[in-house]
Amino acid sequence: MTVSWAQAIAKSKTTKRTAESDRELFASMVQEHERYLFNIAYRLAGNREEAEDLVQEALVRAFRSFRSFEPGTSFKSWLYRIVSNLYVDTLRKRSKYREESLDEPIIYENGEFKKSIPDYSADPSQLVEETGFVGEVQKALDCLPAEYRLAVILCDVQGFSYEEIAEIMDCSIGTVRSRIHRGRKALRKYLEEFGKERNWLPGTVQ
Amino acid sequence: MNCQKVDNLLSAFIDREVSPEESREIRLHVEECDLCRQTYLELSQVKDALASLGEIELPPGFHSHLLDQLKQAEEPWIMRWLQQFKPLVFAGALGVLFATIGLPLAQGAKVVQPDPLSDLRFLISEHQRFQQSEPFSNSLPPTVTNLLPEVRYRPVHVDDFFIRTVSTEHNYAQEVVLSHHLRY
Repeated sequence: MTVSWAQAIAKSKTTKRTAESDRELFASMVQEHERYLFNIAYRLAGNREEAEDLVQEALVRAFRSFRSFEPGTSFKSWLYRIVSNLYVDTLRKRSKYREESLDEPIIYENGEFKKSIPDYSADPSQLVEETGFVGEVQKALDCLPAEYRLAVILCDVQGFSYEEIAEIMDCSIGTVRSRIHRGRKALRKYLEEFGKERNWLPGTVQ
Repeated sequence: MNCQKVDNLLSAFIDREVSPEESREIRLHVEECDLCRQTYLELSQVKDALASLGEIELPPGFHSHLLDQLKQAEEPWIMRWLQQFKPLVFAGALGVLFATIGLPLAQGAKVVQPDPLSDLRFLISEHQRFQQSEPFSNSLPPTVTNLLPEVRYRPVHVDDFFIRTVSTEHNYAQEVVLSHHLRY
């Protein structure tokens, strides 16, 4: 069962609200968006585990502010905005941790020790993420700055208008326009580089 | 429109997010300019590539997992926090309980009840001591004088004697001492 935002608000004003009724209402309103939010999160994060954690956490946050939420903006944009903000926050927190090179050896008094990364290529459970051209596109997306990635995904994967993206990202339409443009140009560059590595003809993406 | 301006608007043009007038100018420019046409084609390819990304199915049990999370979210934060550290919290509470009550009891401590007559007894003993050292003095010992304001408004039962509170310290002390003499 899905309920429109306006219906839900009207209903919540006429009937007595309990914790359970609020939860049921929220869950039913959110259900139709879950798949789209998960897809956005998947394209943002690049893998299923992070995407699922991101959407679950974002929806719990949305639920906490659900009672104080006043209608006016669209429920859909509001949900996407929470997911986007949480994603940017997570990235910021992560960047506080020091990044370490995996190529440089650890140097001891008695000599060097080379770091190693496990090779999952022989493990079939690690091969669930996309491969081939789609994998390359995802890899290119992962290389983009978060703001560009978000704008491009909202526009080209989910088909939002510039106005809706501006609402979700809390910025002007001009900013949306330049983020999408720069994002696509950067993507084009990465895809061309990957294409050269894989002997794809330069100048043709597909 | 020059190349620079057209380039800036190309993505918006592809997305049909420009005004009809801008759209017409850009189309005219792209038809004539090879470089801008190349960029236009490349950007369109990127858009198509992104649009062609397949849809990912929701992980199984996503909605029921969400319902569980929402139930948890309803509890006040302090409860959620406590639940996270459940075994630790119980162990800590037990520890505090043992340290404040169990340990002193185990060491043989007794629960002490205040004796209502302790200050009266002290008063009497002090008075007797003073009388022995200075038998002819008419005044009260300083220890007694200090204590009197505290005791004197308290009706005290000494066996079957009820010692009334009286106005002057001197009389009160005498009465206390008198009652003492009468009793013992």
